[in-house]
Amino acid sequence: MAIAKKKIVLIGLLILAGVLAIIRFVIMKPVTEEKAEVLTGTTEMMNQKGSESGKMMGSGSGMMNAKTATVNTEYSNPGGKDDVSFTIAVDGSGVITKAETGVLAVHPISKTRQESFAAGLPAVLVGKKLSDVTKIDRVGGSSLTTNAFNEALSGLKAQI
Amino acid sequence: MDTFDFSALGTKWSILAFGKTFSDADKKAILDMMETFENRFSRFRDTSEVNAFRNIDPGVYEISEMLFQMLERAEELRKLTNGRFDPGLGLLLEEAGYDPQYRLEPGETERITLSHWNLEGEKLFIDGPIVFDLGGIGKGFCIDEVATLLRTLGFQYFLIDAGGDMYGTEKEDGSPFRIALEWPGKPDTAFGTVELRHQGLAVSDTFRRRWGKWHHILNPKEKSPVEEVIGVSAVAKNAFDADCMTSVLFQLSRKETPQVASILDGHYIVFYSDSTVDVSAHWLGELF
Repeated sequence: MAIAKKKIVLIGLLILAGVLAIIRFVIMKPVTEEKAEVLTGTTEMMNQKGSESGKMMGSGSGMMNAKTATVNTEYSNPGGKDDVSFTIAVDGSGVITKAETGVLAVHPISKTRQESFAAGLPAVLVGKKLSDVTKIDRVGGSSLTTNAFNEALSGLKAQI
Repeated sequence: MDTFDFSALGTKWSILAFGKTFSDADKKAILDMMETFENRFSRFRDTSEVNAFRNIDPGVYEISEMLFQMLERAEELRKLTNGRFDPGLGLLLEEAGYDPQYRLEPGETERITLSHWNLEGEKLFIDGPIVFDLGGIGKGFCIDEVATLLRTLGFQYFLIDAGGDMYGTEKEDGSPFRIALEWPGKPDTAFGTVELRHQGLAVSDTFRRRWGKWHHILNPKEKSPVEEVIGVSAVAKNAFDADCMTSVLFQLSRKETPQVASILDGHYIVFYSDSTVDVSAHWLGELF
């Protein structure tokens, strides 16, 4: 279980690294001249994590400044190596319009894991003290409950 | 800016209005509407319509237009979740202890057999006694009703905060309402912000209404509380859609979430019990 979790976290980090690299590429860099640098950057990032390697393919759509970039990469796991791809599309104003994980794994377990990551963009959130969040109009949260509920609950706790 | 605070549907409401203040007549109209809604649709009011099928023979019954609207949507959501979202689970919630007396002591939940319901034309078919719990759709519906009423009363720019679920227009200067979002189970911590502009927000977690191993979001098929998902926030074009979305996402695996979310046309953040978080691709706001 713990190993499985570690593996999921590792794949998550890898995917995040890939996505971040593409975001950096698409948003910050002109498409035509910086492919090589991105390739290097991605590879470096992957190498820091171990035995993975990255290969980048970028393509400008030609319409306005909308851009799409895809990176194919592979990573090692106890069962061998698996391929995965990430695609990010950005419109003319820099807003991400598409972020996809391509499931390229063949091994059934790897496939399942990649699919679960493709499902939503996994985010790493650490939170912030509410008192440090400025310029807000309200706080959204699960509903405060009635006094009756809270009294019943404290009564229940007292009995235990 | 003017504010109107009141209690209704078991929580504290607060309406912010810009460009117009609340007259006594405005306040009365709002409170009257809330009282009517609660009388008709609260599981905790004996005479409510959701309690009308508690001791009744199987058959086809006339229902009000508003209940029809809510159940019509619920029927779609039930299909999207393969039966896991179902407002017909009132008797199970009661047996688990979430009853009008707030007993909060679970009884023999495995003994409960939930009756089946479906709509036939504009009528309701039930195959046995049933109690509807509109938690998870009713509040959103009600927030939108309040929004409609506010417009009728001449309010153009407002934010309705129903204890953490909301609907916001835009502000007078055209800027959106900015809302901090509470970390599930950590009331002093925010995980991000969201911007509302003519949109609804729904936030739900399994921490606030929790007793023993139970909380208020149940899987009626398993007759047990939902454990994989611990918190969901959703933004959609109105509060009803957002509320429906959170209720559905509690009942889905993370693999099913993106497709269903796109059908429901909203943005989401889902917190899982394994400490991971999934965010839809178009979240408007910051994440910390």
